[in-house]
Amino acid sequence: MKIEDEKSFDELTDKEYKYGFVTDIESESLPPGLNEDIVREISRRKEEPEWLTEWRLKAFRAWQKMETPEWAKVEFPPIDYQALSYYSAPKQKIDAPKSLDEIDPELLETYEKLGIPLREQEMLAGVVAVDAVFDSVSVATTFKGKLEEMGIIFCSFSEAVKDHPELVKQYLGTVIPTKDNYFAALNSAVFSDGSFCFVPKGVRCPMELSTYFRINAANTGQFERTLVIAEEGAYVSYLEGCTAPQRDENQLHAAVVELVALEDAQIKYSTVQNWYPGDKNGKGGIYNFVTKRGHCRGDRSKISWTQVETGSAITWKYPSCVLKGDDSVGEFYSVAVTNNMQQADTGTKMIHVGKNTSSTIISKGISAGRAHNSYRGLVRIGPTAENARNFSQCDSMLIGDRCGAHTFPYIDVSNPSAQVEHEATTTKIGEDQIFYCNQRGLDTEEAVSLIVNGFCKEVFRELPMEFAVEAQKLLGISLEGSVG
Amino acid sequence: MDINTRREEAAAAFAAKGLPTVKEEAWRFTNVSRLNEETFDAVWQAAEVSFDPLSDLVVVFENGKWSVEASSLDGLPEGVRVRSIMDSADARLGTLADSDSGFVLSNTAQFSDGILIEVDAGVVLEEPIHVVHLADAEGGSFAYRHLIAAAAGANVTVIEEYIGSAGVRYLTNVVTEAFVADGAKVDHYKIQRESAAAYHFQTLESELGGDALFSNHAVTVGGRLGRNDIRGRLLGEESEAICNGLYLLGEDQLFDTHLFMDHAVPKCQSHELYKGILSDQARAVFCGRILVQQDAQETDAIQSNGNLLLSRAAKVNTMPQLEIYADDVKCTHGATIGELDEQALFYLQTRGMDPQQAHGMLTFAFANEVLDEVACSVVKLRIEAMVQAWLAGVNE
Repeated sequence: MKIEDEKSFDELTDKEYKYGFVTDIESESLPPGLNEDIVREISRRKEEPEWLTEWRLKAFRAWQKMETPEWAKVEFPPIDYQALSYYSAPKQKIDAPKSLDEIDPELLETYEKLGIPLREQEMLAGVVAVDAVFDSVSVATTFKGKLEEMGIIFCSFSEAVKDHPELVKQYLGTVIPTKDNYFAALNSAVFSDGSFCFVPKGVRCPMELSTYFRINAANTGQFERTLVIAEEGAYVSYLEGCTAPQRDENQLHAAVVELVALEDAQIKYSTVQNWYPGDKNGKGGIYNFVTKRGHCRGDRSKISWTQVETGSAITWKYPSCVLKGDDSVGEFYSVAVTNNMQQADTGTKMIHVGKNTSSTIISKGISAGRAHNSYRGLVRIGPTAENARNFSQCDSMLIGDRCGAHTFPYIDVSNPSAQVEHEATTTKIGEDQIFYCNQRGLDTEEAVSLIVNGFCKEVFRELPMEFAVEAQKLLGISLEGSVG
Repeated sequence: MDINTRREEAAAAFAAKGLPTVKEEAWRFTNVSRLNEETFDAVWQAAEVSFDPLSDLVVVFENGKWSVEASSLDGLPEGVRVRSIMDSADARLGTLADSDSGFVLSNTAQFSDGILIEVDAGVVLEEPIHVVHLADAEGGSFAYRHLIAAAAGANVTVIEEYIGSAGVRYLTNVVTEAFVADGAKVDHYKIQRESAAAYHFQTLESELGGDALFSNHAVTVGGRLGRNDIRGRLLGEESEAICNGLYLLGEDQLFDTHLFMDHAVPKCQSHELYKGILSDQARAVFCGRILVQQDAQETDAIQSNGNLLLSRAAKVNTMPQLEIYADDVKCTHGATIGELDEQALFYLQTRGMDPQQAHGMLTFAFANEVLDEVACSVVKLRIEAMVQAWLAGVNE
């Protein structure tokens, strides 16, 4: 990061986000900078096999030759990658806040509004480690045992590399190659940890897998890597993130998520992202540059992405589906909310290759304050994709006259039997709607929350139950102060 | 800056920059590199191409030059001046056309002729001005520069038609600038039926004052590789821009439409309806961008692009884009791509039509939506005939 960035980052940790962090480099961390030795050292410390070290190095060499992508409609000062430290050991508990009394009351208020249980609040604020939340390891082991019985592997990425190297080797980088894009290449070179999930043939995962249950991966860090594989006929629903604002000291996040669905398999991947968005003037905040892609490799497979993006100063994220198998289905449901100075450039890619493939895109962008919210998407119907269907709907809502809402869809069709429909609209919250709500006793802020939730209903109903309720409340909170 | 200096500067800039490449976002689907490998020369000779005038006011360009013999401007009313762009150094020339584009730079440097239409304040010209461009010189390079200026409250209709002799290879590069002052109305039509081996590029720039109306209808059937860059700037409140188009492509034709509507002030409207029918290995590119600037409240912008694919090898790239910085706006865009509705075809057949008739009728109906919007009746008839002829060719 450049000096001014570092400064803003310091301010971020020192002031608004003062939850007991220190930025001192701990003894076990690597010095800032990025070169082949650092990449080797990360791999060595993680005790990785040689092929993985080589894989990282290949990615690193590719990354060195690449340039930061500039096509997205987001603005940020250049990042000095040599100023970042790419490996830090798990945080010392001494640095963490001792109790909730040390936590910013504003944050607590937010937790209150979201209705998050006290113990969970403590975890989110970093008072206790994540494994304490469910009070004992036993809860986790119960879950883990149950999953293991069914043959489901769900563990941290590092564990997977150690325990199931053949699976990791078989699938890693096959959906998102190391050279896919700048941030994916960076992630491939230095990824810290992440989750690994494997659902064997014919197994329906009985519970929503989420970070809540993942005990050892509390410190996945800023370069997270996730790999989900569903074998023939398997089903899995995976939840990522959480609705509460999470403390996080890293300004740059470059995660990679790869999904593989074989014949008749289904993967549902839901994300709620609410990282620190920066203050009202755009100071600080997380840069969230994520590459997510799923391969529907087998016939009749299905991958569904649902995302609610309310946090981060910059969101750069395009969860995509490659529909290779015949009759495979891709879905993308997204709500992106930007307020104050936030910038979001998000959307999806639906690549139709197989016959009778279909995809649905529902994107709801809400922009308030001085924020910018862009939908950017690609629908490609290849020459072999007979009878492919796509329906896209991109709706934008503007709250205030200093924000922006943009739509950049790309539609490439090379097969006449395809039916592709795209529509986009832009609206604002009508004064008459607010007035009506006021009349019925709702204050303006509640009215906005109500109307916005209605606007996003199509996406929320795709969320797993436990997320949906919180996401609705979250939306209201994110838009606080945007009206009146 | 006088025109000669401007031309020299453009020539230098073009020499440095060259034609756009697929690395540029706006040209990623339209590769014009083959133009660099082929040679084109300015050849000024009379053209042996027949045409039907659509008006008593006809200006004919033959292979790059104004033909006085073939043109007829009798009965031009007072307050309307039509001349060659070479005869007047109009200060407005080049003020609208985006000087950054390779085709515009090359045109500014090289244009050999063009038309200057000026309509004085309050003058209404009922009769359309038909500007015909004929080409039959093999390897010819024709750069035309047109300028239309309608003063406050003026009213004029201009039809640009491009006709090429079958099979002849040449390059047409046109820049048209239209200034539409407060309360003025300019109806602009473009009929492009160049030869199937020709290259055709046009940049059409318009600027609208308050309560002004600019309409453009672009119909394309010709050219091997072509592109229309159409840009409108709505600079006065309550102005309205209409940009409609129809492209009928076959064989290995590639036609690209890039539309850009800039809503700079409140209370303006823009409507865009583009339809395309593609057969054989034809490719169509459509990019429509609507920009609503900050404080351009009460903007009403509608855009739609529909494509009908008649063949397996045809391809469409469509990019309808919205960029909005004001909240009290009504903006929508839509795009569809597909083949004819099986059920509709079946329905017509149950009513006694043979499959070919049913197919023809539905295809015509698809195109007809654009024709419905054409106000000028002579143009409408001409386009209708073109569509019918094209469809007959496809069904053969």
